[in-house]
Amino acid sequence: MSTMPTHTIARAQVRAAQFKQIKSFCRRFARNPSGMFGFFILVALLFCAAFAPWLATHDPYLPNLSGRLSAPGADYWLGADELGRDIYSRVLYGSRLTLLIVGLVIVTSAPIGLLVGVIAGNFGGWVDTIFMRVTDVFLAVPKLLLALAFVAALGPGIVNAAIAITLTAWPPYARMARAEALAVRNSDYVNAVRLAGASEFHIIVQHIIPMCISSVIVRMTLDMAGIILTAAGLGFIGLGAQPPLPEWGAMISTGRKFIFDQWWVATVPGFAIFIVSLGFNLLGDAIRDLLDPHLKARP
Amino acid sequence: MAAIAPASDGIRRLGRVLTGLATIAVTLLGLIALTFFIGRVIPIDPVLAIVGEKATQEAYDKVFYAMGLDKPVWEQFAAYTWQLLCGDFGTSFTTTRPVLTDLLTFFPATLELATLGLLLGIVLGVPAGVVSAYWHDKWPDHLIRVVGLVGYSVPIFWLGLVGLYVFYYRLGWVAGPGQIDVFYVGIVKPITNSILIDSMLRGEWTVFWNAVSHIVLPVSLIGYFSMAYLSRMTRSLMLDQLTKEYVLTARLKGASEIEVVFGHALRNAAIPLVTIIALSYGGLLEGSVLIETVFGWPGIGNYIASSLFRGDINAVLGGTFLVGAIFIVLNQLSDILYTTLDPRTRPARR
Amino acid sequence: MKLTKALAGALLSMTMLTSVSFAATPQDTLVIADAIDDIITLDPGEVGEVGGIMAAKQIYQPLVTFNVKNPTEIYGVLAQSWTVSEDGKTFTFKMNPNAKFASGNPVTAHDAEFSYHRVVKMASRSAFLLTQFGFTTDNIEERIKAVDDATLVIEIEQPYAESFVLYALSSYAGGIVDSKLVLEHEVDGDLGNGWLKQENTAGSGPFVLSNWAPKQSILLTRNENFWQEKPSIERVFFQHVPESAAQRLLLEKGDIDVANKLGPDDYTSIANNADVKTLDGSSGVIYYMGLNVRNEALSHPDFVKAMKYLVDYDGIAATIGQGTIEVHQTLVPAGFLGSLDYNPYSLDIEKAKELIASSGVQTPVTLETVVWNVPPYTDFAQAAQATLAQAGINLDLQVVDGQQWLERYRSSALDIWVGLWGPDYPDPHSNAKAFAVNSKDAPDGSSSLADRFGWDAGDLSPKAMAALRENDTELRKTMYEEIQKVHTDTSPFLYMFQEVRRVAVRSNVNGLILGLTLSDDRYWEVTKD
Repeated sequence: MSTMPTHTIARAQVRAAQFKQIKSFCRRFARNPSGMFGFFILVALLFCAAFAPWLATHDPYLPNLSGRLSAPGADYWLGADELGRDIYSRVLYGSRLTLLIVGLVIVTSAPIGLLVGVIAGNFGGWVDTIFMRVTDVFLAVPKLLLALAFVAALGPGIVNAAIAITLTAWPPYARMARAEALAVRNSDYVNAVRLAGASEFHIIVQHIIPMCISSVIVRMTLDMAGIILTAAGLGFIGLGAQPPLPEWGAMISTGRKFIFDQWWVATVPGFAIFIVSLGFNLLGDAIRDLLDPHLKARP
Repeated sequence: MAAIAPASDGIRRLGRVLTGLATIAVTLLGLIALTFFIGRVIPIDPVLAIVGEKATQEAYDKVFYAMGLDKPVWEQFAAYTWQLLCGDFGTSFTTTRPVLTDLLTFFPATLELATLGLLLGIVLGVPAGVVSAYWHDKWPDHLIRVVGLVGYSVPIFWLGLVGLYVFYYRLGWVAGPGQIDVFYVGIVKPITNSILIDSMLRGEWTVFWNAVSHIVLPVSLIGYFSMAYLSRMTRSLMLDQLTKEYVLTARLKGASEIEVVFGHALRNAAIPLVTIIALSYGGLLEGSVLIETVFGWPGIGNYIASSLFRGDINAVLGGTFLVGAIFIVLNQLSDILYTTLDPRTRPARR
Repeated sequence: MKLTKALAGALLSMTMLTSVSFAATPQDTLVIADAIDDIITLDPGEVGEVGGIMAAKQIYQPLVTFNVKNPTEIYGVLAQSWTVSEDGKTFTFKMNPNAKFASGNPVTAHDAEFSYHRVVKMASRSAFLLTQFGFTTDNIEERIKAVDDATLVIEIEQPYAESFVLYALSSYAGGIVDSKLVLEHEVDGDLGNGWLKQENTAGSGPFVLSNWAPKQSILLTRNENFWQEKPSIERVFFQHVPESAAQRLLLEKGDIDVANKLGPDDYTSIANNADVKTLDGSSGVIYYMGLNVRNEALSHPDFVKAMKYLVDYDGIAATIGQGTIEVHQTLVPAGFLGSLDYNPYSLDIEKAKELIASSGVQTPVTLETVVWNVPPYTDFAQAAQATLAQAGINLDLQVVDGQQWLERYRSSALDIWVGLWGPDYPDPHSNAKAFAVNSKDAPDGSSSLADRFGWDAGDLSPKAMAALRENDTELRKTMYEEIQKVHTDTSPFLYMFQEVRRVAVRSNVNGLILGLTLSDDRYWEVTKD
């Protein structure tokens, strides 16, 4: 077919345009100091997670009962916990778990929400009604309690905690995606594609989902901090990672017993959560400022 | 334009209300179904939770049948829903009381925390948001944004622990965990079950002040958390308004800055802001589990969580239903508020 | 700016004023901080959880009880005396004519008869304490009978050691209720359960219930009709304070008199406080790991033995326990008849490795281990996890809530259970039954811990039952000693520690008697100066 070459040319042009867009995005991002600070924290987190074995001074799992609850000092930089394990090393290793949970939740909740929302918005009618009622129900149940109940049902553990958070995290994506889908599905160009005989599946995948991507990304980065806090909350209640895993929330939970006499046991991991969630928030804010189409439209 | 048929308008309105009610009902039913399902899946044997691990098989069977667990799940669900419609939440075995009585006992404590926290959040957050928007990108804005950012980045349960350590243990400015000193428990006969209100009504001022010293810290934390959220929302709403043309027009007409900010911009931002506040109230009610855990607060979050772990399904269902229902109603209310207050979303009149 | 400053100042001074707390609790009130959210009933016919038993024990009295300091000394409370028939199956109790209930009604043999019938008929969680003697709803009317107001006759199915029967009657299921009062409040044949469950009491004990706010507090007040010497304190108030650190602060500030649930670290930090003292008691609670022999690796006796060499008993007791636990590796707790000082195991990784090699089990092995999410279980489990790992045995710890913890071992869906056993009465059989008697040898056919972990106790099981029937105390003692040595060497139970019961009180609190079994503390002899 003679359309083939023009098609490829068009694609190359699109790719070039995309590249240019990304470049300009990066340039604008670099000019945002708080965003850069957030980015720096994220990089530091990744670095800690990747090089934890080299950065750590102790084995994070090996108890040393004689060093139990040691204060911060030369032996234990940030003190030792109730079994004499080095808190600094445990916090380092804990960064891996944090990344794991955030990663798991993000790669599951966003696609699920996106799919539900897009299908509801695109098909409308009773499909929309059912999907949105279900979404509303999930939104109405107390979030942390829902996660609690799910973990209680599935059994505690880091993956189960991630699944539980996913179950509570997808509804906002569904709502957002539905709104976008509603706006797009009757637009002229989608109608044109539809008239050209494209299947609904093709329309959803090729035309509607891409429209939602940028707002989904914004939402995702903003959500990450929330996910970290929820995961820590579950760990704090004892339903997240199981011992001896150095999950930060669980570490605070054990440190709680010693808060008055050995403050470092609970304080250090809490500080780590705070820094990382701050980083994600800064990053999310910056990305939203740059990507959000509604904000961009404003003078 | 004014010549509309009042009857048809009334019918339309009634229809809207009915649809709204139907939506609430369906959502609530879904909520019950979801909680019920979770309750059935949890690997906790409610019978075992009642009879204990040393009981004989006979004792076990007796409770098993008494709870109707031999019946199919859908039948149990139907029975439960029907009871609920009749206003019967069932009995909690962990407290041996009707769940409704429990909810009335534990809910006011949560309500106290959430309400006072939200009020503090509004009092601090809304003005902060306005200031932040007005001096956009100047130092007050930066300061408020940083304070806010810290607020929603910090794990609230951890801040609670640190707060206890510093203000209770080290400085002794506030009282420790719990709603009231052990010494004062049981002095005030309950009226509303809110210790602050009851002690005031009964004129027990020492109890009142003691309760205040206990609630100050958790309320400050919730207040800070909600201030962080509200100042951020207010800021972005105000920014939206302040860049609108009518603001420029008002300024050109010579309106004072105060009039522009409060008379025009804030007034217009107020409508979505009220919605946001209403929704965040629901969020505070449900988000109380962690704070209640840290402060040993006898509230609804604690009640639901502890019941959940002991397989006390009636209590979990009742508590979740209450919180969920409030959330849903707040949601619908803010929708209604929005449509009635905002001229643009009012249904077009022919 | 000025306004906010003023506001902040006001807020600050307000909190400063209000945080001035009282230096002491009232002279006539004993305030106890404890974790009491487990209580689901106060009816003596069905209490079973620690908090419930604790409260019920202050309200209801048994026919007989024992001296906590010397449990072999059994004496009458509501019964004045008793005789046992030649064949050891018929017990005849003479009631104490002076005893009366808080209501003023005299305590008669009919009340005792009613109370025991009630427990069996209600088929409650605590009924096993009586039904183990062969009582059923069908034969109870025959077997437990009041001949007249002063005489109660109890006929048990098989002969047992006398002390064992008396201990069982002294337990929480043996509390006597006021039958007249209870029957007045019976609804639909519930034997007054609805009435006694939460709001009312009908006992003869030193205290009566004033108020129970579930999950929050219990208030007991003195029984002004008490027929024995009245307690010197008028009120006992239990407040739910789950956190040990919070309990400690309350105690140090003088807001409470007794802290029941302190952690080992808290005892260390209050050691130098002159306002507070620590009471030591003995406790029959044993901490152990149950190994499920249905697991392939755990079915090898040498492998199980190797595990017993892989726990740092002394290290844990010294650092985590800090005086609240002692190494104890047999099934009968110290202080009970037949208890033995036999602790053959200590941390020896080389020896363990040899044993694993001879068992033929290929390491590394991963074992699913279920742990209750409260101290000291989590600490024990993690410490053991580290040493076991050195010999290639990996514990996959699942730290769960109390209910799930029980559920998991009941359904045997685990490899290792980190748990405790608290005897119901201070007789060695309470433990022997649990750890060594298989259901085929139990008179009531009930399954024990041994069955739960899939272990066939072999001839230890009939031996334990024989010891139970032996009335010669010296002989009985030797029998238990023999059983224990074999049991410790061969059973899949990895005994670790016995709890040293510890409670911290204000220094002006005297006379508190700590119980031998779970929740048998006696508050009525407390005085405050």
